[in-house]
Amino acid sequence: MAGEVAIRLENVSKRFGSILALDNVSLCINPGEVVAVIGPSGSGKSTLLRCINRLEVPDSGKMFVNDAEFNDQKDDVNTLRTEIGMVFQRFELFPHLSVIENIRLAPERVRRFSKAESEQIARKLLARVGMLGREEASVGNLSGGESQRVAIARSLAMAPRVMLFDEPTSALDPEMTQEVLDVMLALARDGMTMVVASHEMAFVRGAADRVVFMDQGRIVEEGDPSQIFDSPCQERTRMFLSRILR
Amino acid sequence: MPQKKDLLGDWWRKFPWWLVIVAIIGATVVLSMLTSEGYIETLDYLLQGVSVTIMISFAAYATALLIGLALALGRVSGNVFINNLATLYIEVARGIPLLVVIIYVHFVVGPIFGLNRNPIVSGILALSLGYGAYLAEVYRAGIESVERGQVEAARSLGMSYRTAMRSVVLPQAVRTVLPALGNDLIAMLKDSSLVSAIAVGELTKRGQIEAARTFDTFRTYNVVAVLYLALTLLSSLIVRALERSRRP
Repeated sequence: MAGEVAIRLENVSKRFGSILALDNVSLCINPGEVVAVIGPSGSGKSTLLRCINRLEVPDSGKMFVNDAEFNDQKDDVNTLRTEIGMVFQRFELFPHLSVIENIRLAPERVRRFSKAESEQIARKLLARVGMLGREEASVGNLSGGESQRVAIARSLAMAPRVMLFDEPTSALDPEMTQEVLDVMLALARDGMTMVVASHEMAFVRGAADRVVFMDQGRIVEEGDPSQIFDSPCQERTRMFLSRILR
Repeated sequence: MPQKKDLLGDWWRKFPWWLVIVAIIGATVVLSMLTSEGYIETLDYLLQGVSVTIMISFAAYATALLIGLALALGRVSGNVFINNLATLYIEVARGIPLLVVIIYVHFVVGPIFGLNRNPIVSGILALSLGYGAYLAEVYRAGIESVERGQVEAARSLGMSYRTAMRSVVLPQAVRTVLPALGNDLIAMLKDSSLVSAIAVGELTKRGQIEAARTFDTFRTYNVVAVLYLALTLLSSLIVRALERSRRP
């Protein structure tokens, strides 16, 4: 797999009414790489992530998965999504299911795993996100941090090759942010390919291999965390960072 | 001792007092019925209609649940053809009085398609066709109450639209609209009286016959009303119990 491109976007644009959410965006995500996408609200971070797993279909542009161009056929989309996990800002756990049922649902319904198999997977993942012992808990009784950790486990249960995180800590109390970031950090160390839209600059700096700064639907600048944070080339990047880092 | 007082207050507030009142009135009525020769005779005759009413109502309700679900899925479908077809059906079926639908199915649709002329079958068919449209709107409200993010989460895990609907959206939707569905079950029990128009020997029809035979309208419809009330109250209690058991 070395050197192989996991995902490549080429000149992708997406418009919502009069708003150009993505403007000719090109981006490579290499296997094992942690790419952080930063930028002000409305800069297109979410749309970029959602175009990768086709929750939004771009108006134009191409996407390559392992050098094969992705075309939006129905089966391909479902297969693509099993390989690309997504973690949402507001968790989106299934409230009618228990913690472990949330994790088991997709492996059983999509991968057709047996109950024994899916249970084994779920327990292993719950241990990984530090939620073992809460299998039967009702989703409504979890804290925000716990919910997000379960949501991460739910995505991992499909054994994706890439994980997308759409501002995973933005809906959390500051106290709970760290427990989620710790899980993500461990995941990054294990070599998971990750694309993270986040405002947690300390995390971005510590965990990302590459930082992409977006503004008004465009990638303004990308590079090493140290380069972006310490000596950004673009004035816009400098302005954003000076405001957010204060 | 504020805790104990609260507990008592809670108990006082939650107790189903309405049920006590119903039980007292019911017991009085039943007692006076059972001590009167005429009432016993009327009750005896009408009870045979009760089983028909129950059978028709539950058969039609079960069918309407399926028709309603299919229509609701059509209504939220992205397919223009299916969507319009479902909307057309719902608007037409809701716009025609149930009594007219019943007569229409029995005397017009049945003969045209050469279906059997059994009025019970016509009655069940007509009630389920009419209620299917009402239930479709109930389901749809439930489906639309489920947040978009839930579908996105399900789809992002690789589930097809169908799987996401079945495993994620519908379980939540049905839980939300369970009280409304129960409401329509009770309404169906009452509306089943309309099939008396095509001579199905259910409770209301038997009431008409009994009243004509005895000329005692007061007595007959007292019994008819009490029997309907017993049926609807019983269903109401069952629905409540079901709601409680489905609550997380």
